[in-house]
Amino acid sequence: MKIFVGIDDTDSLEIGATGQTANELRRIIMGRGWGQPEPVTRHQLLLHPDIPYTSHNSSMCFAVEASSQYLQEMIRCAQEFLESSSAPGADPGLCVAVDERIRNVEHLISFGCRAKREILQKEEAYQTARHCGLHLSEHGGTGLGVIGALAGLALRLTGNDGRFQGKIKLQQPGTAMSAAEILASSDIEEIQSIEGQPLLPSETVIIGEKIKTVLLDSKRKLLVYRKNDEWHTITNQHIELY
Amino acid sequence: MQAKDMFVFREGGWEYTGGKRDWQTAAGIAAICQGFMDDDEGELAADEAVSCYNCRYRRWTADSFLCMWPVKAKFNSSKNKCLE
Repeated sequence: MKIFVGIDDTDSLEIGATGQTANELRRIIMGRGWGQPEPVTRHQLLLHPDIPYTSHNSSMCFAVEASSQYLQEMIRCAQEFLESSSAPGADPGLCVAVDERIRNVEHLISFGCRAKREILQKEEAYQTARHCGLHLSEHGGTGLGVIGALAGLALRLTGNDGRFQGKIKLQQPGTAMSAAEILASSDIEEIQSIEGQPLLPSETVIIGEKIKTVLLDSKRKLLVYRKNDEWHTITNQHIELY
Repeated sequence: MQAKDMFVFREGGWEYTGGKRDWQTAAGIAAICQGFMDDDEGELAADEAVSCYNCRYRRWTADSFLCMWPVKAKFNSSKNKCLE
């Protein structure tokens, strides 16, 4: 079965990063032999002065195909990890969901989408988690990270939100690669322009400094843009929108 | 224009007046700022490695960011004493 793990608010101004925490948790799950986690996605939530986020108000989510016998142990492990590794002053939250046991998916996804444009309360996060059959728990501080943990997981479920954490290595920056070569040599599933036009396998892409991928149509996609009549991989400046 | 002129004090900290896409100025300010510290790789927003937009001490707002560098944050008055 597919297990989704969402975490949020594990860092402070000077210590930690929730993306790193999520990746460390992935490594622990892998190390225990519970499954091979998918890459982490980062989901941007509302930026508003009344929300006490550290610096980005983004939350992290990953999925892992694992046997049901490991579920409770995995939750306990994640809880202990968040409590031991989160920065002082952080307000960490953990959300865990089993794909086939999620109820009222539309309600859950609505919560995630609203977290991108509204200020939500912790009580509603817990109500939503109960209503939809998800585990939700807080592990220090005010525990307000439960809102982002639930929202991040919900947004991942949409298959159309967020960007992947971590680096993808292709050839040296400035090198030209065909779309087919890129797909064959990486975890990228599709390549399309920022306007949504899919690239043909034979089309050429100029590789940039950093390869950024996004979650679109439930796939890991590489986005490209047109410059000087050539396709180029998107830069940090383009990724702001995802 | 000096770096200090690019920030105004608001509730919560010093807000950058250049918005979120003022790449060149944000890089120029970070280059001379003693508080610049790289943020996590997954949170970088600018293509310039050293930029206020890539600094651990920036806190994004809807339109721009607040500089949360503790040394600057302590000048919490309407007088622009930061980055002097």
